Amino acid sequence: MLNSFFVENFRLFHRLEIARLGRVNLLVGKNNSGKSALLEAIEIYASNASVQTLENIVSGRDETWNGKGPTQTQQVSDNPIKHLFRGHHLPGIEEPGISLGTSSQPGEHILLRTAAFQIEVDEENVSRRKRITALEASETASEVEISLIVQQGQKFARIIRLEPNFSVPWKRPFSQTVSHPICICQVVPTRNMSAHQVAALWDSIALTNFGDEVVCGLKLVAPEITALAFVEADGESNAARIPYIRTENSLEPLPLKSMGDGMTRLLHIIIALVTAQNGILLIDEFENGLHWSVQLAVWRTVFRIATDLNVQVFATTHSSDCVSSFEEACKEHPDDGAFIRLQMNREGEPIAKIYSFETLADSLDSDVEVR
Amino acid sequence: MAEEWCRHRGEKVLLVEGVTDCHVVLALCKAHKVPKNFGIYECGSDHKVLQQLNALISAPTPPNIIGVLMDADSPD
Repeated sequence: MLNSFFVENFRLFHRLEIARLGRVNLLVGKNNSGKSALLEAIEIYASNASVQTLENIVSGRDETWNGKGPTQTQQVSDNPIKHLFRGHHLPGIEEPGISLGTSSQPGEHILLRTAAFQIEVDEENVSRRKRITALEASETASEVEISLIVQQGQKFARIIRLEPNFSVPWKRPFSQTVSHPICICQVVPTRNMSAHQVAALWDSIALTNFGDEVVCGLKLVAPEITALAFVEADGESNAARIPYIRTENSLEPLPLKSMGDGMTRLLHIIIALVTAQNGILLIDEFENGLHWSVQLAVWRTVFRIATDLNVQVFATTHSSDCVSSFEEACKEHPDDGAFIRLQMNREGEPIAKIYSFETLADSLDSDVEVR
Repeated sequence: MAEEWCRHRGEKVLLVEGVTDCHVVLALCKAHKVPKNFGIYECGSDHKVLQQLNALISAPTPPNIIGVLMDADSPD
């Protein structure tokens, strides 16, 4: 579990430190205060900067378009990965890049930076890449490769070659497995997971206690539900399977969607939670689709399962109902919840304001804004 | 129920315990011609004054100046 988190040179963050985290963390803040960016930073950290995660994050924000067309010469600096770096600029060779990790162990931070490599061929005609400095790269007459690397301490691994004239850089990662994930990380985006993704997660837990937990979760909103299954849509064998439910009141199965968007949101949250055992769950805009009256029950379930399965949860919200229900659920788990607001300081840099449980309760009791 | 004029949420606010305190402050201001450049917030009790102060200090857009008026005596 992350007890603290440190982000540097990522997206809008020059340097952000969150000194204390809980098992279940609720993040608030105005638009563009960095809530979603912080979730992305945690996801990248948990994945140990996997290429797949970097691709998903950049693609998810429509940042793969370069505006120069496919026929024109593109520069290394045009690589869409640049959008992850503060100011949308790739750092120069060996310059400080993105740094992610816990505050207490700076030596173990994950660093994302650019590095230059010179190809050497030995006597047995085996080529090796030697990491060289920016000065050496500018002076050498031989070919130089510039790559994005992930570094931790003295260890590093190249993850993407940042060459000019690329078309789809993601197709050329050195390896999908150069770095092992630090922990499993499930993500429930603002508009939920893809239908394929949620069906695949269900397959991994169906007919287990975790599957039962999902059905119990759905009962928070619709107590009449007795079973859940994912089925192929008629005549569409390649389409994503869709969730159907059985209820006490109906002889035939019903599509979950017929019970409203809240049920879909609940399904995604609970499935992601039970499949994040010993890892991290990120939920962007927790309350989406959930009526205020069920949010307390959902939070209670999140706290319980997160504790039972050793999951650390990070959720964002804009909703005061969501904050109130979170605070109510926190009363039963006073040591497990953390409420954090991202805001700009006087210099315009994002900072994290951590509320104590007492201050959060005082604010809600006094009807003082916390978001 | 507090009067609206005793529920100021501006940049300069004086937190007081009860509505009587609001009247005392207004009367003092009037008697001594103190400029009306701040507002008063009646919290309801001494405990709620401390709650309000704690909450306002941490708010995303806190007041520039917070004053606190509390009775020094202990009713208990």
